Order: sequence, then C-alpha cells, then structure tokens
Amino acid sequence: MRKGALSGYAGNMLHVDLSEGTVHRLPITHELIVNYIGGFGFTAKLVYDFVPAGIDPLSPGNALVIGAPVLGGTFAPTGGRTVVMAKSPLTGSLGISHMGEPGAMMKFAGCDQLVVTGKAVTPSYIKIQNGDVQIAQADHLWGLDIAATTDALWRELGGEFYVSCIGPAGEHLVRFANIISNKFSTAGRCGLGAVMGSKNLKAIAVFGDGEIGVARRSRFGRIANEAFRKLMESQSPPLDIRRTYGSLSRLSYDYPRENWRLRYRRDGRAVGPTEAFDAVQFDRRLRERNVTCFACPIGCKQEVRLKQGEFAGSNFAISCPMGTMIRPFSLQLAVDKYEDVARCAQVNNMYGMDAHVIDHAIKLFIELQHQGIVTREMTDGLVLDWGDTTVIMELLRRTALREGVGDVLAEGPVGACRKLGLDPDEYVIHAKGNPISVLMDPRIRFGPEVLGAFVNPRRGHFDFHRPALAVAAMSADLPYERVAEACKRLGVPEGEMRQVITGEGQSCCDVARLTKYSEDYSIVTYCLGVCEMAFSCGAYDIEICAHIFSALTGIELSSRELLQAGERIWTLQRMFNIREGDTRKDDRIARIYTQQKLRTLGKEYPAFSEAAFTRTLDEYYALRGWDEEGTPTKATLARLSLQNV
Amino acid sequence: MTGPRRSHHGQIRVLSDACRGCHLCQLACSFYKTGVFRLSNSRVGIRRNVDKIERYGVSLLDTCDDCGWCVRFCGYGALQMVGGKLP
Repeated sequence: MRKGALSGYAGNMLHVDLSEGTVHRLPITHELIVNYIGGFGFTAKLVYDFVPAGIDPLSPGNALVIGAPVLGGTFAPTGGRTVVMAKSPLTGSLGISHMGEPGAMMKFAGCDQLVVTGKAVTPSYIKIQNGDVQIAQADHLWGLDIAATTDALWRELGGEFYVSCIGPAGEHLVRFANIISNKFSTAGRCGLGAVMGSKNLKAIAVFGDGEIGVARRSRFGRIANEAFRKLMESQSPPLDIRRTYGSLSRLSYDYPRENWRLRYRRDGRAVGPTEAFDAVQFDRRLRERNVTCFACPIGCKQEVRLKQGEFAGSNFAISCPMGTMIRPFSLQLAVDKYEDVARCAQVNNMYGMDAHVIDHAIKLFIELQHQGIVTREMTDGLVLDWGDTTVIMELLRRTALREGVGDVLAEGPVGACRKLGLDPDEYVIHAKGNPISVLMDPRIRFGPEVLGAFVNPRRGHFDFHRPALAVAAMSADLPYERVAEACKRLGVPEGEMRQVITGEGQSCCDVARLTKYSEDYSIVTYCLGVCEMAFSCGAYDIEICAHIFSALTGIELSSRELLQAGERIWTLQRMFNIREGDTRKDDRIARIYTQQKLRTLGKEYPAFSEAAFTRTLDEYYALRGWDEEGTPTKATLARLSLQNV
Repeated sequence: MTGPRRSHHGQIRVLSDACRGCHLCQLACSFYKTGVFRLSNSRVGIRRNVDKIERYGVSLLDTCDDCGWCVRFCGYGALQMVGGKLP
C-alpha cells in the first residue's frame, strides 16, 4: 500500500474543468470521512459545493459529480455501486442516479470522485488511467449510439477500460437522457445524460491498476466472507430466482401480484390485462443469461436474445427488465409481443433515454391525440395508438433527436404539458416533473414507497425506501418478532420498534417513521456501495456496515454515527433543494391520486385522502427536525454540524 | 490474515463460458496473496471479449498454487475445485 494512503480510498477527488481544460485534485480529509463517509456522501457534499444556486442545469456552470463507493474495488460483495449527481434538467432539483459500475475501476485508476464543470469547445471524452487525466476529442463518437460509442472506445483504448457514455439523446439535451456504463449499467434517472451532453462530454473511460489498502485485513476478510455466504444462501428470494428474473423477482415482494399484469393509463386506471408477460415467459422466450456488475455474485442484470421476428438473433443487455422493458413498453404502452417489447427497450437504451419518463410522455400523447388535443399535424401525420410498435419506435427516434413532435416529448410529460398549455397535474402522476411508477398507488396501498416518492430529493422514485417497503410488506403478513428483526437491521432503536411496526392507530406500519429510518440506512449503504438487492438477505445490516467500514478504513465509526452521517447527508440534499427554491408545495402529493377514483379489474378504489398525506408529511417533517415548510431548523442544522450551509 | 496457505491438494478448473466478469475471484486472490486489492496482483486473469456482450476469458497464471480462494468467491461456477477442499 502507498505510504500515507488512506485505507479503503483511492485518496483523490478530481475536478475537471472542461472550459479551462484543467484538472485539480481535492483532498480527502479525516473530517470529510467522519461527516460524509465516502461514495454517495462525498458526492452529495461536492455537488452542494460546486453547483451555484439557481443555475440552468444545462449550462456550463452545472457540476456533474460521479462518486466511487467506499467498498468499491474490494471483494465485499455488491460493493461497487456508483452514484452520479448534478442539478437535474428534468426537475430543477437535485438529480441523483445510481449504477453498478464504474466506481471500482475509478478507484483503481486513482479517483474516488470525479467532478466535471464547464463545457468543452468541441465534443470530448475524459480518459482516466492510473491517475492521469486527459481530455480527448470525441468528434468521431458524436452521433453514435451507446453500443457504438462503447465499442469504438474499447477498440481504441482496450476492453479493460470501463466506458460510461451518452447516446444521441444526451447530445440533444433530452431532459431525461441517461448515462450507460459498459453498455448495460444504467444511471437512468433525472436526465444526467443531458448534463453530460450540455458539456460536450460524450464519454468517460476509466482504467487503472492501483491498489486499495485494507486497515484490518483479518477482520475485513471475515466480514466480507460472511456477507458473501449470506448472499449466496439467501432465500428471500432465492439466488437463482434473482439471477433468472432480475428485477422481476422483486415484483411479488414489492407489489400485490394483481397490480402488474395490467395495462395502465396515465391516471393509473387499468384498462385490461396484457398478454401474461410474466417472469417465466420472460425467461423462456427472451432471456439468454444473466449479467453482473463489478464485485456482485448475484448478477440480476439480463442478456436478452431475440429468437423470432425481424431482428431474430440480435442480443443485448438489459439492466432492469422490469423498469426499462416490461413496465414501460408492455404495461404502459401496451406492446404485446415479447420480441417487440424487448426491441423497444433496446432501441430506447441505445438512444440513451430514461424508460421511466419516455413511456409516460408517449402514453400522454396517445391519449391527447385520442382526445383531439394533439392533432395529426402536430405529429407530422403519425397516428398514435396503444401497442403500435412501429409508431412507438419512431417516437423514440424523434424524441432522441428532438425532431418534430419529439422536440416536445423530449421535455418529459410535465414539460410537454406546459408547452401545450395544459396543466400537468391534470394529466401526469408526477413528483416535481419526475413521473411516478404505475406499480405503486396510494389508492390501493399507502406505504413508505409513496411518501418516499415525494420527499426523495430526486423525486418520483423510492430508491431509498426499498428496505422500508420490504418491512411494510412483512408487517402485513409476518409475526411481530420477524418484522422487528428486519427493523433492527435498518437501525430502528428498540424504544421505537413497536411504534414503527404497529403504527399506533395507523393501518400497518408508521409510514413517516419507517420512511425516515429507511432513508438514513440506505444513505449509509449507498456510501459504502452496497446494492439494495443485498438488504433483504441480511448481508449488510447497519451493524455489519459499521464493522466493515471500520475494518476497511481503520476509522472506528459506530452504527449510530454512520446513521447520523446518513441523516446529515439527507439533510444536506434537502438544503440543496431548499437553495433551489423548493418548499412544502414541491412535496405535495400528485393531484390525480387525490381527485380521481381508481378502477382496476372490476374493483374501485376511492381517491386518496389528501389530509392523510398531509398528516404523514407533517409527522415526517417533525421526525426530521424540519419546520412546517419542510426547511431544516437551525437547531437541526447545528445538531448535524451543518450550520454553514 | 487468513491466507495465503495451501490447505488441500486439489486443482482449479476454468470454465470461461460461465464467467460474468464480476472480478471477485481476482480480488480474493489479490487480497489473500498480497494483502491489498489490485487486479494485477491476482493470479487469475480476466479479459473482456469486446466483440461479444459480456463475454470473458478467464486464465490462471503459472504462479497460481490452487489455494482455492478464487473458487470460494466465484458465484457463477467459472472456477471450480477438482479433488480438493476450499479454504
């Protein structure tokens, strides 16, 4: 190990200014580690420090920060999860997105965090190799899709490089463009690919052969071995189920099964069952084999091979078969044939767009054309309809290239409504511009995933709330002791256990309290780089997180100290959004939930009570130490050593 | 430090087709043989086949002593121990 190097960290945070063509190295201090742990926490701190308040997200002043996790580069299983942040061009708030790579390779290349500011004069890519940073010209890559860009850089630089790039959508500043690493690992949410495009930055290629030191080897090895064993022996769900069905395996754990065989419309109303697009059929008809992120023994990503139709024989990787393939193109847009669903997902990926947003946008336009609001002239003659694969593929192309009607779709469903002079709250279920998954609905069940979608700094997603969702689902079926065990893994104190689980008067769990604990725990795991797939099998409870962090770095932090750092990071993210002008109104529940009934499979659910949401939000703010407007109080900021933000 | 040591008399078999490129075997080898994580310290080589989606070639260097730590951390069956016990 290098003399004086920090165990567990590469030891460098790099700031690349594309306007100036300069590279600066920022120090990692003991104080920074104790307060922000590393990985996600460092990224949150850097994006707070580097992004000026009120800036246009697509202007050179926005900062794109990519964070490598604390466990990245070690054999702690699933520890390579990487985070990307910037001010989001989709929501105007903090943009956060995760992917399984390339964080570990960043650390081998000598880089814990990469901050990119400014704008290159011509198309460029950043190459980082063993601590050396180059800004190289990328004229020959501009216009290429994700796969072609990655292949070109692998040919130029070698297959050992980890390539993260944008497709045509990022170049054309589509507000929900994504970043894809090594062709499959996707930082999909919040339009951070458009931030790259706005900087003329086509790709980041990383390789290194540096070393990651370990402070307490025997202890670290023992904990990592145990985590590996737990993952391999997991029964919730079993490993082979996770591998075979990827994110589909979580469906029966996350949602009532009757929820996901439906075809949805934008108001959440199911209009009839699709062809049974279930996990078994996915395996039989499309799946080739599983694909994995760095240091992950689960391998939940999937390689798909088309066996029939025009594109028979072609194969490609899908990061999330549920979120990027089946939900958007089967449930949302009603494409029926398996091969067509997969083909839509592949084309969308190659353009580099967030499937969670484009499906809502296209769905909106289909309905608006049926209502006569969007005319055929506006779509250049295209007749929009459910399940029309040819038209959907053409809309994907036009959106990615901002051609014709695609220029409106590229604003996202909320931005598109505004361009058309419509009130987006009447047409889109969203949280500050980020559409919300149709698979969850408070009219059927109100749980932490719903509250989470609105209080999450990146909005519209419950990536910090999956542990809470798991606990909430358990609380409906399992004995108190089993649920308490899961809560303990999250770090819920004994004194609050009964309150969290029984909700004291609420229907199941205490949604606000469970949401808060889930967020603090998830922040810790994201700092370490642990994938959410690892929570349910118990491989990384909060005590194990503390032990493995201390063994790797030699810095002793208790689980309580880690959770407090998690709370600090969560609050700092809130302050980022407060600085951008967010208030309580930006946390309000989507109007369609509270004003429209939900009819599905012969059942009718009443509109959700806005008062119930308001009450839960009040409780949540109080637990967080935020005032009625959702602003952290001075006392809270002082308690978390955030007085200066 | 649990390794390095030789605790059996088996031999490691490589099945490249099963490799998913997670690199856990390399990391385990590097850690138990040299005490740090560094890919080139590993006695296992993994090369991405850039012409095919997520296909890898796995090889063992001559310095490999079949200690089996790489096999223990291979979750995909690309490395298997024949005729011996894992550490």
